[in-house]
Amino acid sequence: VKPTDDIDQLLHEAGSRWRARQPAAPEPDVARMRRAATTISAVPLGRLLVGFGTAAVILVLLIVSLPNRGDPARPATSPSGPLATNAALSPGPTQVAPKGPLTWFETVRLSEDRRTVHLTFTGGAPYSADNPCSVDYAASAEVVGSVLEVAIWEVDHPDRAVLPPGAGCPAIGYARELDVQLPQPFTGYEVHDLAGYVHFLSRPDNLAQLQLPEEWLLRSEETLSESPTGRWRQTYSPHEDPPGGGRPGALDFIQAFNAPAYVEGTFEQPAVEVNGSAARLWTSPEDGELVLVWRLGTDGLALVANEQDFSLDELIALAETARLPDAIDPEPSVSPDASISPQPSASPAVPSASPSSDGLPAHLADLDWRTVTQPFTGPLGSQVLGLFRNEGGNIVAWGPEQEVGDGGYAMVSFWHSRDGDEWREVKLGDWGQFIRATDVANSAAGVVAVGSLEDEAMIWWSPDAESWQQATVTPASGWSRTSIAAVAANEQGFLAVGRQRRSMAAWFSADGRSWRQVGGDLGAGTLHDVTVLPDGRFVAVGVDESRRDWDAASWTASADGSEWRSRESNRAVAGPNDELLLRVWPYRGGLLALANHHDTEERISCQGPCIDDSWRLYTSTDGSRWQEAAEIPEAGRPNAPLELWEYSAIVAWGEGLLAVGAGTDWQVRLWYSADGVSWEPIGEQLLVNGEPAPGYQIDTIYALLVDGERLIVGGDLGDLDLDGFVMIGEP
Amino acid sequence: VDITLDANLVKQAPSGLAAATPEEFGSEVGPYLGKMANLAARLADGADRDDVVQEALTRAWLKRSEFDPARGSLSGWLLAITADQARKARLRRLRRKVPYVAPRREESPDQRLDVELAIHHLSPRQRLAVECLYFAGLSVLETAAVMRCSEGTVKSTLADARKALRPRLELRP
Repeated sequence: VKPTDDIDQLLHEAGSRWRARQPAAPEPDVARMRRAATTISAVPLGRLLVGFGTAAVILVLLIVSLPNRGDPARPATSPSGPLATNAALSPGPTQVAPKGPLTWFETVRLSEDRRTVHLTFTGGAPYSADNPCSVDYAASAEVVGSVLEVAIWEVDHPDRAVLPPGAGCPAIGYARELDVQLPQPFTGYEVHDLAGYVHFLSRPDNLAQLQLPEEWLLRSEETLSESPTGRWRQTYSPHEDPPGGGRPGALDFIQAFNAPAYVEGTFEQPAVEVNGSAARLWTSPEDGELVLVWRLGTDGLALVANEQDFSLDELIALAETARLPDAIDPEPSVSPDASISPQPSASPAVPSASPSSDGLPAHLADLDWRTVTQPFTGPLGSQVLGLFRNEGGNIVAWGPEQEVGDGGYAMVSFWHSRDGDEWREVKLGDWGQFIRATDVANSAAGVVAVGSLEDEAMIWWSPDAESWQQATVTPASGWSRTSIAAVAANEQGFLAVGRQRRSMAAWFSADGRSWRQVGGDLGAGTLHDVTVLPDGRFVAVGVDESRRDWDAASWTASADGSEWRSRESNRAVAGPNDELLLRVWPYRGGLLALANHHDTEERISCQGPCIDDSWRLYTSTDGSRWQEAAEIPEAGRPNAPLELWEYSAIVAWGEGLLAVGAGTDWQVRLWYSADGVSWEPIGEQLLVNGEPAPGYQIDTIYALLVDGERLIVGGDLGDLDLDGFVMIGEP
Repeated sequence: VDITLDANLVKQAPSGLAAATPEEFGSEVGPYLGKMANLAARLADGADRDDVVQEALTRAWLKRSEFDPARGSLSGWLLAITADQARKARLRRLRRKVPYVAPRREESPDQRLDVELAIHHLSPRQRLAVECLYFAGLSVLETAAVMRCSEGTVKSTLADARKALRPRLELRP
């Protein structure tokens, strides 16, 4: 018998042998860090525009303008390509719907008679039928109300030469131009790029104003490109020809309309306040640049100054003088070309946006919690992913049960309980099968589970989550190359969403047993989640892959699943980077969505959707128009109190939302939010299974059920064996 | 217990970490990359080890201003973040709609022992401690940082783990 004292040595030897076989550790990916900092802090190019100018902008365009998926003839772009003008303008003057992938433009200007729209953009080589790397573009412009809507798209030429197998196009971008004629002069100033951006031809309305020292005069102003909602920059200086913003003698004042400012500096300082609300401040010891970002009403504002001109206190004091036009005393009058007169006693234009716990019953902070681990632990790994009460009055928990170590088979378990303490297990599937459930919906028509069986999409129906049957779909081949991500139920039936081949896809069933595909051609991409509005309509969210960069997709469907609508462009969630809407939650008649945000280049290097810890929150009142919820605090930010990810446990509760999750202190708590953006912790940390959650085990709660006055949460213990649990909190 | 590694942990991170550029940050974390990679490989269980490490580094970079040397070592902080990222990567992989392919287990035919198989029978916390210390090569202090417990708890957990492993790892003639 081997001496027991050698067990330690045996383990050390086994570990050493294992480590000896490991490849070398990767070098830190500095570029990835930079991209992450940029993607979290700046919309596309916000900071670059402030700090580095147009050359950098074009460089980033190069990065994000990579070839289309599956189209070898699509060239990448680069900043140094020869200038070429594409004179093949769109046929007819206007009202031409885009017929190909959209391309965003960098600048737009009108001719003197305001009837010719001149667009510049970066694209592929000028079109030539014998050049497989050339790209033809067309453009349209249409006056809609006071706005000019413009689109540039790629024209498909079936006769274009095709690259030989294995060949690629050179990564060269070309400065391209297009002109579009308007039937009538356009007298407005706002231009919407249907690729997702807003431009201003001239000074927009509703500009905020500052009370600057007398000698600081407005020297220049301009629209900032690549903004989903429009941004305007005013440069003030004592000098007639000021240097760039952030340098001594120049002050940039940036205003983003209905969106965060998307500006950041070099080294972030501890949080500061502007008019009592949280603001962010950066310094740069190297060059003295100061950047202050804050909110005024729904607009994001930023000041880019230099410490040779302003101290930190002076900069904050200056920011506190910012007023929106409707908050400014009409006397004395303000000239856009002159410094703004002091208004010493003016109050902030908007109240503080600090979190509020109004409407939050105190009893949630004092719940007594107990953990139930049986029958959720055992030789197979299990997790509690969802909780609901079925029509029979049972509490039902569901989740995967799988052999994670060697077998590779999985089943889905439904655990039933009357009181939350004693649970009875019902399995969906048999031993040896590989079944996954991605979502479950419950209604009076029964319970529907969606997922996959042996790698094929599948839907199951049960009257009570006890006995299950496979559903049928029309047409019979309907599950080919399909994945189903989510399902929701209303009074008329169930709607399941996902992906089929390369397109977003959806299926509806009135009874949960027979399904039909609905929605028609929803476009390239994947629908990741679906929920129900108070009026019964469905809202499905996901990712639209029809462009170079992947944008958030959002569809609304009628209550019977028959009619589908989507906005052609959703500026708040469009941009040159990838934005994947992964979860959506209804609350207070509106919607909160969680988006994963990352650099398009990173996604391409992943050869698929990379999901990392860069998150953004969006809100919508109708499921059609989305607005980025807030810059501070934003999910994924270092100062965000509640960590969010795609499996966060969040439910509508009262006037707001209730969540269970870990904060940046790695302690699991209950959280409440009135608006989905500002989250307040409730009470002390939850002791999962009687212990504080170890750092390794954060983000292990996936399900939350409000059951009268008590709460039930479900998840796994975060250990390597994936043991599940539920916790019950009672007054 | 690897005392040498423990002693290394006494090294405090530079106070300027919060102000470090990505390049400087990359240099500071360089000494810990090997352990981060090993930990990711052990805990991510089939996910892309290097991607877990890079995501952990990116996350650490974004959160660098939160690092407080007075509250723990830089390596412990990095390894805890790595463990969290490894866990997320593993869960995401488990929830994908593709069959799970278990990583090949180490076999020790010469000794007729299967250490890897044996540790799967440990309790979750015992196994975590074993994975961290013996396989990922972490010290007791670093393992404590990952498990968010005291060094004493790590040591007692390891002792319990060895005791539990004894019958499975004993060679019988």
